[in-house]
Amino acid sequence: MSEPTRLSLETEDETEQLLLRAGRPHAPRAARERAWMAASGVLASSSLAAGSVAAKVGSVIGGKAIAVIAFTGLAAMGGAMVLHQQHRASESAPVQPSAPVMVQRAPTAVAKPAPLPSIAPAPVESVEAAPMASSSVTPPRAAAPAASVAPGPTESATSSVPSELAALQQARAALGAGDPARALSMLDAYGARFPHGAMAQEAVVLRIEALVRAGDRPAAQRAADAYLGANPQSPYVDRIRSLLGTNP
Amino acid sequence: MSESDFPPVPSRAELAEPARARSARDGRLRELVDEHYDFVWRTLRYLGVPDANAEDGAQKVVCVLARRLDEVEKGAERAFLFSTALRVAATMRRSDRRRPRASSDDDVEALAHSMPSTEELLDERRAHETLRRVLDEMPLELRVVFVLFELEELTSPDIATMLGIPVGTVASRLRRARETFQAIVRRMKAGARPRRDEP
Repeated sequence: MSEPTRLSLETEDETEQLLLRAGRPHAPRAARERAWMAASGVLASSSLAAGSVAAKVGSVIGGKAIAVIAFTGLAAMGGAMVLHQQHRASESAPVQPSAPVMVQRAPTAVAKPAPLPSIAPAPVESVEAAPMASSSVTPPRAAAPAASVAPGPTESATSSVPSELAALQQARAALGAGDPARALSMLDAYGARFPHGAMAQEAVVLRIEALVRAGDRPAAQRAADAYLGANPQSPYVDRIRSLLGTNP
Repeated sequence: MSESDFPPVPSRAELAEPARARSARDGRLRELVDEHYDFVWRTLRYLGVPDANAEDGAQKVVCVLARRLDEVEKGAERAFLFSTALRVAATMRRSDRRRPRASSDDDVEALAHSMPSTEELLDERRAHETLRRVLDEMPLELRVVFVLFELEELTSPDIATMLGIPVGTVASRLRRARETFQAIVRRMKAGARPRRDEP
C-alpha cells in the first residue's frame, strides 16, 4: 500500500494550505523547561521508591517514599520568609500561536483510559510533581547557610529561564547526591539571584523536599504551610503533601 | 503522628542512586522532553484541551513518562507519550465541560465558526486558531489520524503502530478525515456553522 501524499501538498485550496501550514507551532520554551523540572523531580522520587530505600522503608505507597524517609525531629532552621513572585509575568513564546494563558487552576483529576488506542496503557496517576501555573506566588524560604553558588545580579523573569533552570538543576543534583544542605544553599542562591523567578514554585517544592531530606521536618512543614496557605489551588498540593507524608 | 511512625532514616549511600545510572536516566529524560514536548503540547491542544490548560496537561504527561521511564522501551517513547496524552486530554475535556461557558450567544458562536479571509490566515496565529476550530468539529477518531498524518507528518505504518490498528484502517480513517476536514472548511468559508456529521 503506497503512502498517501500530504494534503498540504495535494490540495489546491489556498485556505486549506494555510491552515495545514500553521499546524505545528512550538510550545513556549519556559513551559518545556518547567515540565522538565517537574519530571526530573518525579524521576528522582521514583528512583528512591524503586531502590534500596523502598526495601528499607518497607511500606512505600506509590511514589511517596520521600515522604517517609526523613523525620528526625531536628530543630527548625528558620522561619519562613515570604517572597512575592511575579511568576511568569511576561513569559514569551518563541514561535507560538495561541500562547497559553497562565492562570491559577486546580489539578486535573485522575485520567481514565481513552477509548482510542490499544497501546500499552499509561495510567495517569495523580502526578505528584505536577504542574504549576499561577499569576501570583508566595514561596516560603527557610534561612540556610551561605550559598555555594555565587549569586549574580538579579535577573528578570523574561530572560532568566535557562539560568534558573541550571541553578535548580544544580540544587536537584545536590539533592540526588544525598546532600540536602548543599541543595538548600543553592536554593538560597537561586532566591537571591532570581527574586521574581519564573520557576519560583519549583524552587519551593525543591526546598521542601530538601528540608525533608535534611531531616528538618518542622521547617519543611512551615514552608509547606506558608506555600499552601497562599496557593491552596496549586497543582503542587499533592506533591507537597506526598513529600510530607500527609496525603489523605 | 510520632517520630516512631516513620521508618529508619536511610543512609546517604542508600539515598543516592549509583551516579552513572542516575545520569543516564536523567539524560534520557532530558532528551525525550526536548524532542517530544512540543508534540505532546500540540497533541493536547488538538485533542480539545483549552490553551490555558495545555501546559498543565503536557507536564502531567511528561511526569508520567518520568515515573515509568524504565518501562518504556527505546523507540516506543512517542507512542507512550501519545497514549498518555490521549488519556490526559480526555480527563481535561471532561473537566472543562463541567465548567460553565463564558457565552452561549448564537451570534458569537456563528462568528467563531466563520472562516477568516485568506489575507487574515497569513497571520500564522490566526490560521492556527482557525485550524483548531476546524479540528474541534471533527470526530475524535478521525481527528487523531488527521493530526498525526497531516500535521505531525508521521507515516501510516507508524500511526498504525501507535494506535494499535491496521494500516488499512489508518488509510480509511485518513480518507474520511480529509473529506470531513474539507467539508468543514467549505462550510466555514460559506459562513455556515459546521455540523458534527460532516461531510
